[in-house]
Amino acid sequence: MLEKYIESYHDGSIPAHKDSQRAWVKDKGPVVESNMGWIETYIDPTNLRAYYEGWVAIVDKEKSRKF
Amino acid sequence: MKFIPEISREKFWDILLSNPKANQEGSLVHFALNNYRSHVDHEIFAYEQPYTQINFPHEGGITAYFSRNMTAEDHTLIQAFLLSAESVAAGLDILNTRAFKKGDNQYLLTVGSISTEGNRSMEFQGKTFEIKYGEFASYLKDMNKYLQMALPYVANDT
Repeated sequence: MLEKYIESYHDGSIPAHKDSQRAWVKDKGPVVESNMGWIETYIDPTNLRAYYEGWVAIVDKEKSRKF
Repeated sequence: MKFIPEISREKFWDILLSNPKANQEGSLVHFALNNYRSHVDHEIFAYEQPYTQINFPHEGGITAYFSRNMTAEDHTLIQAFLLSAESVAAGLDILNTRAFKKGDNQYLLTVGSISTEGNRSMEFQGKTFEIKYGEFASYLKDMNKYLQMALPYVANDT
């Protein structure tokens, strides 16, 4: 996944970006999860162009048990 | 929908400028306040068009993806070009692009990348599209520097 990030940022390649996203969805139920790249398209009036984002999420196991 | 601070503009900046690093040369806070304040000072508090909504400039909105001199026809053409077989064959994808009108028959399309190897000029429906890679390269270079450092520690493919 990181190699695909690197490739997509270097070349501006969206096929490489899509491969990184394919790797991301295969990581089922991770405790620590992250993703980055040209992801969200909400702020383009046509909803076709993405803005760059990067995030990390950590599962709160105690709280998850309550839910 | 746009949220505007309830406090006055003066108080807003007073709070930001009270940061201990506001006057510290070389700090991110100092850099941001000096470089961005004049750009956002009006926009943050403005509740007249175009500053109230994200939309095409010709429809009274604001966007960072397009120059403000474009008509609906320009947008239709740019979108048709970026979704065309020629564009796809050239490795372009609308996802990491921005578009600017440079003249009557001339558009500039920028692509988010480090490399500028894809730079080229293309013709489409009698118009010239200049394709310029390398937008946001300085940020992406930093990303790749740190991703390279992270690579030795990955546990698996995902």
